[in-house]
Amino acid sequence: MSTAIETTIKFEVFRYQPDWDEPTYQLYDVPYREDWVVLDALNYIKDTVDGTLTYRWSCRMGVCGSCGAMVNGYPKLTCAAFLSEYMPGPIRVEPLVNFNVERDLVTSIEGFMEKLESVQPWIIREDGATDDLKSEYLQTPDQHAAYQQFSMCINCLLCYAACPVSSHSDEFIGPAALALAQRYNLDTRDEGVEQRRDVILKDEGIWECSFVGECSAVCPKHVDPAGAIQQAKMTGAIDYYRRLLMPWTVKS
Amino acid sequence: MRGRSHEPIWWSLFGLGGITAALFAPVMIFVVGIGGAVGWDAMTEALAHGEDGIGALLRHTPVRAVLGLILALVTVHAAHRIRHTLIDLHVHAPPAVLIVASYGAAAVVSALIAVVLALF
Amino acid sequence: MDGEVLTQPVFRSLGWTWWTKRPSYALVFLRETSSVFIAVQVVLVLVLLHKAGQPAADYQAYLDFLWNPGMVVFHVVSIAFALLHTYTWFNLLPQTIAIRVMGRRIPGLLLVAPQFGAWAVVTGLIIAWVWWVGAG
Repeated sequence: MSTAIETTIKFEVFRYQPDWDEPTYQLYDVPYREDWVVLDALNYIKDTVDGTLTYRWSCRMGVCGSCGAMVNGYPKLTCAAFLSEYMPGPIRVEPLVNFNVERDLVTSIEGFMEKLESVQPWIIREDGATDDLKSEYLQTPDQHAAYQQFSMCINCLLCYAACPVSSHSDEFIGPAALALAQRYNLDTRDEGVEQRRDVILKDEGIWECSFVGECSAVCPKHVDPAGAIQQAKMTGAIDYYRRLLMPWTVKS
Repeated sequence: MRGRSHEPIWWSLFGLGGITAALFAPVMIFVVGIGGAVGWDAMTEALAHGEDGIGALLRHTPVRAVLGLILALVTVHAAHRIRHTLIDLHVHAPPAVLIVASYGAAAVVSALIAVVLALF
Repeated sequence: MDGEVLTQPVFRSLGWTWWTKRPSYALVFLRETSSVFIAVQVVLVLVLLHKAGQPAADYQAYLDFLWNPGMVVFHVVSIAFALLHTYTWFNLLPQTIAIRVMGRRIPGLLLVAPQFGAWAVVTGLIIAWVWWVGAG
């Protein structure tokens, strides 16, 4: 770098501490670097300007899913949001919406963890054999391909911040957890469809979704949760009518 | 069924009505509201009163039956969408109230359509 | 200090104005709004069918209302919304139906194009039929 006057970019960062009455926005000037992402700027602020700024991050390469935030109102992984896309600024960074804010950019993910657990996102065997694995469960590439897209989720929760349904319903299981439910339901090694049924097929499961589709638009891993939910609705509707019209075909 | 949702009924009717509206709504609006109004003579004649006009269009029972089915499905599709849009606009009403209001209105409109077509 | 955590989280919702916040949301909102225009058009047709069974003068009065310039503007807006519904409905089908052939999802175009084809045929046939009745 030469000694010429540095280009800077203005940041407006959402600040909130638990003992404050009101959140506020704090302004910072950050030097502009072509190869910097928003996460680099946050690290610059924390290291050199204001050590009290709190946010989550880990891998800085789009894998860990912990650095999601609203960047100029759009849910992004801050490690994948290049400053150059926002020049000349300013860049407003806020915590993901539709979540409780614990401190600054840190949201509470407890509600999500409960929802995720409720869909039992692991391979279930009717004989309980996964507790005591004695053999492999083989799967062809085609069978793997059937759910592979839905298995790419990194739980970054950008989809929840994009979802108008999550904005009014605490109970809605939501895009990521439903996509993962569908991922296991489509896995030929899994036998847990029955066990997930009651959670997925209630109103707060797939049926509250109104197919806005923004979850799929913001997903950094191209999981397409909206598609997963629509496909689950199709399966769920067929299941509903089968139970209604041909109850003898349903094992209980 | 342990608290299972009955939404599949509405969702499947919405699906049928949605594809029906996608196929028929634009042409229906054109034929009824635009073609004759902008001076396309044959369209004006087809909607004229009496046996040579709208009476000829609707003379055959299967035509009236299909028209009634199309209109009813489109109505239920609209009711479902309006209900979910209200919810997504954060309208706080008990779910049962929205269900009765939306699908109830659709049922009334569908019944009127059936009566009018049956008496035609 | 020990153990006593002052945590009073604030909940920040996307809010009911979500549809004003991005073009993609606005398009979805217009898509949903199409249902209101389509519903009104169904009611207009219902009244038309009712009036068709009334004396000619009553029926003509309704047609005059239906075809006055202000209503024609409303019909043009309605048809724009109806076409938006058609376009979005057809295009969302590949997300709802995942058909796999030889281990691959079939291309979305194979699901979307036939719907537009069917739409063109249906629209053409109905206009031709009404024209034939009116001209004949």
